[in-house]
Amino acid sequence: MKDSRTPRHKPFVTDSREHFCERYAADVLRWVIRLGGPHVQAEDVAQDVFAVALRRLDTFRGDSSERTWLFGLTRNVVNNARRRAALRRFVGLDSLPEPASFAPGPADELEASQRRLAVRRALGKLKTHHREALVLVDMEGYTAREAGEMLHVPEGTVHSRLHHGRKAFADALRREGIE
Amino acid sequence: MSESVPGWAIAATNPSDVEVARLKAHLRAHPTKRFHRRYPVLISAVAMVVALAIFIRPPTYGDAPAPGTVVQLSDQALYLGPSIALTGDGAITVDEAGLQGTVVSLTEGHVNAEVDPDGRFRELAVRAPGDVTVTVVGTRFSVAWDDGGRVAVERGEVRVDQRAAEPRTLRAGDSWTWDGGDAAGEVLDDRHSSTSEGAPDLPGDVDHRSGAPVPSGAAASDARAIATGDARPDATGDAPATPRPSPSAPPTVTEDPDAVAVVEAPATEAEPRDATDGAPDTIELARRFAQIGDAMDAGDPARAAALAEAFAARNRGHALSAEAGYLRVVALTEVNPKAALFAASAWLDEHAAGGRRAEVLYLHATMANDRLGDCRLAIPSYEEASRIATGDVQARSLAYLGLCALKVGDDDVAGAALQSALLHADLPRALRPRVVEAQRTLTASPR
Repeated sequence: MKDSRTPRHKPFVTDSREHFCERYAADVLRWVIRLGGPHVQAEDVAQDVFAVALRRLDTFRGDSSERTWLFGLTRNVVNNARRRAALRRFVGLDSLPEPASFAPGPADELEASQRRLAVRRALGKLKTHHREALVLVDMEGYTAREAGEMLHVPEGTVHSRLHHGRKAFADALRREGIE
Repeated sequence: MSESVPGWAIAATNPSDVEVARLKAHLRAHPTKRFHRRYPVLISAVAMVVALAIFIRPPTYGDAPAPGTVVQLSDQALYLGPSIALTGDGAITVDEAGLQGTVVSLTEGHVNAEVDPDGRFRELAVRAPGDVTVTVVGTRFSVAWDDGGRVAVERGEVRVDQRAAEPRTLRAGDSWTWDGGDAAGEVLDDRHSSTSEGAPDLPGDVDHRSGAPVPSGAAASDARAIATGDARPDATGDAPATPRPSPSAPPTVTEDPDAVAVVEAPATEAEPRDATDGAPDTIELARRFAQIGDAMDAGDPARAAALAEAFAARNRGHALSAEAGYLRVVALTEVNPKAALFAASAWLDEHAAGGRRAEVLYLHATMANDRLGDCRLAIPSYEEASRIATGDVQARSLAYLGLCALKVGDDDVAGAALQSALLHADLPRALRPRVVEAQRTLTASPR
């Protein structure tokens, strides 16, 4: 009988810390942008994710894939960052929105910049569990079952969150003036 | 099933190659170093919030039936919170009983409510069939229902809301009647009542019948109103569809289209008062102020803006008033940028100095530039902010002043501001490339 504690995944296929960072930098940054909303500094938070991940590399048991493990860390770090950002906004330290109209380049780049900001604002207005389901399934391409494993919820719950998340996201985009 | 996220929205959340390259470079240089530059500020913020939490330490509401509970009334008092006791003969449904307020629906019979005018959580709304809502703060009244009804106010004030009719504020000596049909209730003795729009802002310490002044606090503590009216139960037994009043919320029109109408007694009675000197109750004020932050944290900036507006309006001159006004501007930036712009202008007109001025200037400029596309409107605010601000607000103001000035062709201001921004230690990393690019543009093609 198979020992249930046997890792399903080989602990860290990445052969060095530098390669680990190289391999996942784009993924982590993308996750942070999508999960974090407009009020978190994505690059800073992504760096925080790697700082935590590199400290905990040795504790990785292989119960999940390397990517899933890293997503779980990212999720926690982003949620902490969102709480910090909300606190900073409350006390007036982080209430300064960046004007979107100073992006360098021609008009189409300006529009793209404003659209990026609007999409991030719309994502940021979703409830956390709706946003997570939406990001994993619709944006990252995971199946509902895989997303359920990553979020530690049943597949049906993912479908439900996805449904509500999509609706809320569409509403939020409309309020931002883009559809 | 809902439609999945469109491709363009997914693409809009992809990091650029530059951002990824920059992150990789940082990770190569400092793979395990975390950014701690914000932590001292964060610690201060946490300390401030903890201190505020300790300071305000909200009082507890106490035991109460869960929302939805139907309670048979009797001579045995039903206590809802520390200030409300209900007796009577009939049945009520408890719609809400907690920190957000107390709302009950009378389904049959009559209810007598005794409300401690000086107690906490004393706001009470009684809904009755026929879309009638009686709201009272700190008084004693009864609502009885039979075939023909009336409201008779002996002392104090009550407010009667009925769908399709203007709210009526009834004061001592007034009567109101309603036959239970489609027509609105009528005021029989209109000497003192008024609609909400026309309600005079009567001082609280005046006997509304005689107009004679009474000792401070007496108007509230002696308030007594008897209200009776027709309210045969609905055939369906459902609660009336009146928008739920929110007794703890401010009486204000908000930008939020979903905002419910707020029903509340005039500020002279509703405002918490210290029994000793008539000054606003500091603890209660702090609690109300904290509600603004709670609304922000709960992701409801529209409510936060409404709460902040009411707080600032009711407590002009108080130390927290300016802060509430500032929070309103912050909240409105997320709800209605144009309203935020106007709110910022009003705040700046009212507060010529103060710790928040620089930030409000910055917000004003950002809304002007971002939402109206009016750099010329933004420049004066950026200019002043860059002079009086410190830290990253100053750095950002300088940067955007330079960018704005470049946009409108003021090269002298642009050059100086951009150079100052680049030399500023707190210029955000993400902003630096834009400033450098703008400076390069300026240098390459002087006009």
